[in-house]
Amino acid sequence: MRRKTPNNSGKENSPDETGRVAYFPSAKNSPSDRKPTDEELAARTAEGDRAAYAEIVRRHARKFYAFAFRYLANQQEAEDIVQTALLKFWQRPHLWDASRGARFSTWFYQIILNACRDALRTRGKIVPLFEDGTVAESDHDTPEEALIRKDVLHYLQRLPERQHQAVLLCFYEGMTHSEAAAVMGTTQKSVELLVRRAKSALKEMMEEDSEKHRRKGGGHDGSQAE
Amino acid sequence: MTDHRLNNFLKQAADVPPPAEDFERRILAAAEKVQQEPAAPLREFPRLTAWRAAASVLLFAAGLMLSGAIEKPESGYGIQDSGMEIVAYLFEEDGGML
Repeated sequence: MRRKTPNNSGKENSPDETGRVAYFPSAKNSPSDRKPTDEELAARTAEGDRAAYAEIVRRHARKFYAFAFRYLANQQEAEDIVQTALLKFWQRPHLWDASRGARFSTWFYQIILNACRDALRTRGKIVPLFEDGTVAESDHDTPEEALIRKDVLHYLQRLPERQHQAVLLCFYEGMTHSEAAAVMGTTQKSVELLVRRAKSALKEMMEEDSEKHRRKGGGHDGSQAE
Repeated sequence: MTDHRLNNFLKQAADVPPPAEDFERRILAAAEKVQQEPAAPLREFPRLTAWRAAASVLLFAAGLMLSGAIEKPESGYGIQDSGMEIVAYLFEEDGGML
């Protein structure tokens, strides 16, 4: 019996709705009916198994999108980066080398992280979040929520690159220091240090801004936003 | 500012606006249109390079042996190290360069 695999949004994939599910059927589970691991799915993708690839997309596309969004603070760019990366993985699945012993998600986080870093370098250091509304506001947000999020992401983007990455991976992706270190290609100690420095830098930035606003006698104050 | 306050501030970016509704479908549709590229053949280059490097070292060592550069000098200086031998030659009174 084929089981439908729920996607991240909690909705079932309906063959009628997509019209493509026949081409990308849900990945069949192994005989023991356990869910295949990402690594197994990646290996099957390398053999041309479209169902396995579709399962990887359903499992991870939104997670990687969220990471890219927080990195770039731009919805369209985040979507494009994840789409391009996943498409490249379909075209060249052999680039993932299981023999290296890395987890598939760790490897793919590296790819997304590098793509985001390149995108940020290409377009310039920091997006002027408050000037042109570059951060897309969705229907799901109230204007206040979107504004506060912009504020947080703006502070994060002002951090040095490696500190920015460490905070995103450890704080938002819920990775341990060693997992983040594997993605960043550094040591666990180094990540610990980067996170500690990032926190100090953020506190300093927010206190400075808070002080400036106090002197000016008002305005938007990031440190107040809780 | 306390860690707790900073964490609360950062938590406000935990939720992100969802991507387009057909996000995953778009990716799968794009993948439908492209073919997988065949796996590249295993690269033999590094192994060949290693063999070549090893062979080069061996040939160089053999060349040195044959040229007698590592043999004991007959001049009586008793300097066995070939580098030192060259230095000694340079300072030789008869026929030395200095």
